[in-house]
Amino acid sequence: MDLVAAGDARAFEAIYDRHGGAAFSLAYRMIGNRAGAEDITQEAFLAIWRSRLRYRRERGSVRTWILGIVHHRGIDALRRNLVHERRRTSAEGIEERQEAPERTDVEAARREEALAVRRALEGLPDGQGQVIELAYFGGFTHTQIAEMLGMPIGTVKGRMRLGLEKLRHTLGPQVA
Amino acid sequence: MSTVDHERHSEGLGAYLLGALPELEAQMVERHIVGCAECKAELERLQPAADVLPHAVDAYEPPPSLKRSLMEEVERDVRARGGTDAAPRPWREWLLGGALIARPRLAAAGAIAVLVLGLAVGYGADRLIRGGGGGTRTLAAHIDRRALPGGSAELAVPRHGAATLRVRGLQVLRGGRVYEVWLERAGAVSPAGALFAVAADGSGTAAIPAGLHGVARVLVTRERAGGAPQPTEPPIISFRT
Repeated sequence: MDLVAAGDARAFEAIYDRHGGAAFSLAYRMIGNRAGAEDITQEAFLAIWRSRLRYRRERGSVRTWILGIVHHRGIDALRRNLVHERRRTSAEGIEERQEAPERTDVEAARREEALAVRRALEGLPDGQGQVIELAYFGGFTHTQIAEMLGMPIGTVKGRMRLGLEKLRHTLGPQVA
Repeated sequence: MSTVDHERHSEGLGAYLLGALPELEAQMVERHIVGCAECKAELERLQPAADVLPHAVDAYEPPPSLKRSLMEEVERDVRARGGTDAAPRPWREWLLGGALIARPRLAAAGAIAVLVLGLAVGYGADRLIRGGGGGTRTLAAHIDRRALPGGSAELAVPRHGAATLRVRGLQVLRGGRVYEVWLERAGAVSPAGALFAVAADGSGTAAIPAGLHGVARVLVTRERAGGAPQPTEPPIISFRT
C-alpha cells in the first residue's frame, strides 16, 4: 500500500488483482446487476488511487479496508436511488451471474468462509439476520427498515446490535 | 455528555456499523464516541462482526474490461504526472495554465474563467462562519454564481472526524459526470476522496474522510465519472477554512 500511496501503478494493479474480485462481488450483491457493480468497483478503486485514501494497518486488513470503501460507495449509490430501479428490473441479476471459478486453495478457503458467514447470518434468531441484510446489503436506513417491517426503530436498532453480537460469538476466531 | 445521549448513541452502534444511520445521525455517533470510552470500546468489539459481512457474498468474476478501463485511467494519470511521481501539482501552476497546456482547446475558456475568478465577477461571497453544537463549525461557501445561480453550500467541520459538505440547488450532472471535492494545502490541490452526485432536487451531501488539518481551502469542481487527478475547471464552490 505504501507503493500505491507513492503513485506506483503496478503496485495498484497488484492490489486490484488481489481484491478486485471481492470488491466486485460485494458491489454486485448490493447493486444487483453487473453494470452497477462495475461502476461502484471502478469508483472505489479510482478513489483509492487518486486520493491516496490512507490505509491504516491498525484498522484491519487491506481487504477489509477496500471492502469498506466499496460498501460506502454502494450505500451512497443506493441512497441516491440510482440503482434501485435497475435492481428491480434485473430480476436480481440472476441472468447475469458469472460465478468466479474456484482456481486456488485461497479461493476455496474463501468460499468456505462465505458459507460459514452465510450460515451464521441465517442462524440469527428473531429476525436479526433480516435487519442486518437489509441494512448492510440493501443500503436501507433503520427508519426505512422499521417502516418496511412495521416495527419500532428501537427494535430495529436492538436487533442490529444483538445480531452483530451473536455473529461475533458464532464466528469466533473468524472475526477476532 | 448526558445519560440520555449516551443511551441513544449506544443503542445505535449496531446501526452505525452497518451503515444504517442517516448521515447526520452517524456524525452524532462519531462525535459521541470521541468522548465516550465505553461506546468506543463497544464499537471496536463489534466492528469485526460487521467487517466479516462482505465475505458472505457469492464470489463473482469481474469482467476483464473493468480492469482494462481502470488501468487505462491509472496510466493516464501517471502520464499526466510525468511518471510515478504522485506529488500533486501546485494549484497556482494549474491556475496559470499548467493544466491548460495539456488541454489547448480549453485554454481560452480556462483563461476567461481564471479572470472571472480573479475579478470576482458574479461571485457570491457570503462568508458566514457560525459555531455549531458539539464543537462543529459550519462554513458557508463562496459560490461561482455564473455556474450555480441558485446553488448554496455549507461545510460542517466537527472538532474530530470527517467534515460534511451539504449542497442545495445544484445542477444534476449528466453523462456520468460527478462533483468532486478538493483540498488546497500550501497552494497545492489534491483530491479529498469525495465524489458526489445530487438528487433530482439538487441536494446532496459528501463526507470528507481525510480531515482538514493544514487545509486552507475546500473546493468543488465538476469532473468525469470516477474523478480526476487534478481539477479540470476553476472551483464552482469554495470554502476558506
